[in-house]
Amino acid sequence: MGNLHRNLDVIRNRDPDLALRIDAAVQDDTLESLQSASGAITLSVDGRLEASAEDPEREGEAFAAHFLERAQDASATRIVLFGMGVHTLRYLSEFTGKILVIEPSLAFCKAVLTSIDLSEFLSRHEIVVTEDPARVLSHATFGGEELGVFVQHPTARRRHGKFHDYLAQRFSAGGVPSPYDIAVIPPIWGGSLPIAHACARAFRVMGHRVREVDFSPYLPAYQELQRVTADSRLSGASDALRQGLSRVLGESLVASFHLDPPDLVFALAQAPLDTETLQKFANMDITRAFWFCEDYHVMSYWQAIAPLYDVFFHVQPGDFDGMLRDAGAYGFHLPMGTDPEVSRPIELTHDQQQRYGSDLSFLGAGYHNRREFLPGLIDQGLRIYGTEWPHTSPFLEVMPEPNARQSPDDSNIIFNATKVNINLHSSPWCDGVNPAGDYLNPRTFELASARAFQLVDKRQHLELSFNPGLEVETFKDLGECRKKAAYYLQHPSERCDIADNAYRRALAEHTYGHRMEVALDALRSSPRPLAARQKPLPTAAALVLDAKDEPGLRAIAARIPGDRIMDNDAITLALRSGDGELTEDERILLFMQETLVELEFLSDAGKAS
Amino acid sequence: MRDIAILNLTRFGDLIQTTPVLKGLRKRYPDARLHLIIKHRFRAVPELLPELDQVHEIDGDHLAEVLSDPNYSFLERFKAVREIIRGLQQTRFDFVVNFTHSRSSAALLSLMNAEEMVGFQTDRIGQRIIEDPWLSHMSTLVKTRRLSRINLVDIYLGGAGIPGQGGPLEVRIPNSARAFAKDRVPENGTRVAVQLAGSTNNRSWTVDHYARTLRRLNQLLPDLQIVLVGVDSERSAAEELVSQCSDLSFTDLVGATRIDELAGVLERVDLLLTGDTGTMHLAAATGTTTFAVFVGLASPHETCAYAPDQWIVSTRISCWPCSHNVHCGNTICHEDIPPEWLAQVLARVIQKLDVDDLDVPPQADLFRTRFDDNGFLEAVPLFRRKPDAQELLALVFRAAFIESFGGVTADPSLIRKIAAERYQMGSSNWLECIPHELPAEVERMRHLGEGAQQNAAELLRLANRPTELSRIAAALQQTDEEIYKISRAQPLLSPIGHSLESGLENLPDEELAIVAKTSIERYRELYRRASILSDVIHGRNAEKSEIGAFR
Repeated sequence: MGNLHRNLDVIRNRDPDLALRIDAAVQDDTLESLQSASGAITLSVDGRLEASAEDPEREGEAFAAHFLERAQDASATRIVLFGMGVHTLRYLSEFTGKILVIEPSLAFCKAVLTSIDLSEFLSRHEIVVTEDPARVLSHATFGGEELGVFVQHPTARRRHGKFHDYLAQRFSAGGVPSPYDIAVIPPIWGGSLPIAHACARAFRVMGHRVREVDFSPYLPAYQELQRVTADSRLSGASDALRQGLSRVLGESLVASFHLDPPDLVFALAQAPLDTETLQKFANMDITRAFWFCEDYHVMSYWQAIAPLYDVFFHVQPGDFDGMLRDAGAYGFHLPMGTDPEVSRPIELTHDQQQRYGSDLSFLGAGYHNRREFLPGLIDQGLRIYGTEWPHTSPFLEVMPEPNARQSPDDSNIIFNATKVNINLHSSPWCDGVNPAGDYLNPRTFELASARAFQLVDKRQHLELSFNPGLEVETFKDLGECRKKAAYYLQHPSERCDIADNAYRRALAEHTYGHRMEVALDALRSSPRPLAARQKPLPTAAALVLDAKDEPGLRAIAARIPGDRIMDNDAITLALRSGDGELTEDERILLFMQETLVELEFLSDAGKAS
Repeated sequence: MRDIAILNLTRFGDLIQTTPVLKGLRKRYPDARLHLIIKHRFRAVPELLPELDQVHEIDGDHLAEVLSDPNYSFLERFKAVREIIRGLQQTRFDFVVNFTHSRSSAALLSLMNAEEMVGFQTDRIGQRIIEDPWLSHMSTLVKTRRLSRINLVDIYLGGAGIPGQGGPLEVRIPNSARAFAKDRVPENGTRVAVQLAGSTNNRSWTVDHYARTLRRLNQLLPDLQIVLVGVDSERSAAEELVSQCSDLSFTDLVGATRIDELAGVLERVDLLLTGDTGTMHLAAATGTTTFAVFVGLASPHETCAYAPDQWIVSTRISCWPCSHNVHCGNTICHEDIPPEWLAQVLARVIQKLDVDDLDVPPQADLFRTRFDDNGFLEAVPLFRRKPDAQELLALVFRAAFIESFGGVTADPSLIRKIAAERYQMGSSNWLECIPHELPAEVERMRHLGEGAQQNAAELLRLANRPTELSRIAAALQQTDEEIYKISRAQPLLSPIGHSLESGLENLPDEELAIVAKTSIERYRELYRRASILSDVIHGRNAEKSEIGAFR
């Protein structure tokens, strides 16, 4: 009996339909079975090797060892493996937990099963062969609650990048992990600042301890440095000063974390963390994540910093992961999102309606492509909000508040007050719609959660987030944009239906809460995984649970918000919220608090003087 | 009283300074058990202390570790701290006095099982208070150091309810320690012990100064034998001294003695030369004469060795003593004491000769301690200089504060007499020696204090009329502000303002009547202090009464 029959016999017992499909699969001409230097079989797809040409068995064994190590580090009893590889599965048979293998290609699966005897593995573990996300998402092992890791064969990820990314984002590492201690590092200034606030809020809602670093006191210094080096001939000095400021701010963070390091530093684009700071965080065993909310085609600074992070989140699916891998970094696609506390449907007041109500509006910075494109909509009633627009005609005439920076709340009013919101992604070099645009801006998600109708330029991978035509409407050029704008202005109920659909999708899948859950799962499953906390955070809630046999202390802890870390400020709060004469337990807390302040005095050098 | 405890979580020197209190308490309560609560680190010290029945240790290092190590959960910390408290609560104390001026000690005191407590403590709602006037004075003292003339041990004794009744420092030296000293300290010659203390500490004279002093002293006393003492951390300073004095004879015991052995060594020498150190207190407690160099932060009026006939040399620079809140980076005061001159003084002291005919360095002062007629220690300046307003007023404040704390009525004529003895007053009267605007400000303070007493009394009368009460409270607040303004503008009067502030901050958290009565008392004290000052500077004599009577 050949390998294929042996393997299919085992599969048939568990999944007869799959066995039938594999058996019936036709030969794929792009697939080629080769003999490696070691004599073992290797495969190629479209001329690219799927396993080593030298010793594919040894490579498979190494892959398996790596996956098992990842599972062990995360105390996982569940492995979800994207891509079956060629020889790897043979070495995973002994894993005592569950393994689910997701192989997108039926032909590839058949080729492997024909070449290798995997009957032992298949008798213990499962394989699904599909490109349908729904089938994977509904699988019990994929959605299991026990601790798990999501791992992948790089070759499968190369062949089926979008599918991989989609699944990776929806995978949950499961378990009931203890809350983490997370420091969110914003930029000093810029578009990522409100995103940092939203991430911090999301982490907090998830129950983690969040330290939201505040660089606002340094903003005047940053602006002054910009001012004195505004002359383009001083760009070298400008860079040096910015680096100097980053050095100072980074060192201040290192100092503030010295006594009480967080588990995770989650930095947003443009955060002032230099390589020295990141190295010091690494030395302190702090996991480091960066959310690069930028277009890597435009901003190239990722090359220098990405390898210094454990996970480099980005917004562009496709080739970027491979580029990051080549640069020695671990990339993970994490699309932008929305904060439904800020971007939400609102009842407009009469004044707001008068001031902001319009048929068409656009809110955003005056990038080159927007300056070229948007004047073509002025005759349809377009209004423009945002900064960096020319103080010239025709823009001035359609900007009710020329170059004013809109707060997130004001932006939300504009979204709600506009019948058709135009969302044209920025491009510094295209004249209108960027045909190669591959990420979604925050506006796409914010408009959706504001239940506002949007006409957005066509983007690659848009359908991963929204269903075009049902949840958002798209345009590929000015002509289509004009035509659809006119149509939807005439059909308000269709406009509302689409906005309603987008709203539901945004709340169900695209909040920053969802993003941060994905981010933490990705961090837990990354090559240098974020470990579970050995001890719960010392919050008031944890103390209430912990102090079962201490009713007095428990009652004191219960007086303060459960997420408060039991530090000296929390003790003060607890004592102040009490009533009347201090109890003995309260006096002990007072003694602890005062002693903490005087630790230096307590353990002084004890000189005989 | 059966069980009396002293809570003293400070250092070695402060524990030695507790001995007069232990002696005084024993005299007052011969049958009581005397307890001392100390840091575990100094557990060897109580073996030397007299009259002590029981020692309780708090392991500060362990406590610090428990509270700062992230591996301990909050609950574990709480339980560990409670364990320490429970240990202390095993004994029911009739009276506990806290000599530790720290907030944690205040919280700790409130957890102890005690009938009566004195010193820094927390009230029933956790506010920090010091009700005892002596110990409360420590708060005033740190803000008005240049005008303070009450020794720390006298404050301790006052706080323990036995002012002026402690006698000098004293320690018990075990025979084994005496035998150790006999083996180590030279039998013959003039034996001078030297402890350098840390050379980086701004209150420690530099090694270079000590070396110059000792080289000159060796010329004056050729049989000089120097015994170096100190802890391990002073090793490099000691080696430097030896290298700078290669012709001198040294016995190096730095880092080589236990505390009891150190006491034995100090007892055996003729004199200890040092700074403001714990070793100074220990030497004085063994009966050995000490000669201490007080510069930087150190003030002889506060912390000189509590025994008669101890010697102190100090700087006279206007910024001395440093505030506790600063760290001086330019210790020019160290240069004010000429080492070669100091060697001459030392030689005279060792030979028990007068020092009157020696030159007087312009920026140095020499003091010798004595107990006054009421049993309080004072450092008396030996050079009769021209009077200085600060020195004169400090004499008045010493008398005025002691009166208000305990009952020895201040006598203006006696104060003037003491001033005339110590300073070259000549024919000049006090008004000529103080800033011309000061008398008027003193009168303002008197009037404000008088008015405030009346207003505070109104609080009692109007207890049931909230509107009136608010008006009176606002008036009192305005008066307080006026007094503080005067105190800020006239630093020579600051002890009066600061003591009022401290007194009002420590008002008990009780019903209005008690608060009002205590307030009246605070304003009365202010009025009285200003009146004494007024009487002294205007040459008036107040009625003498109740001298020597304490509450």
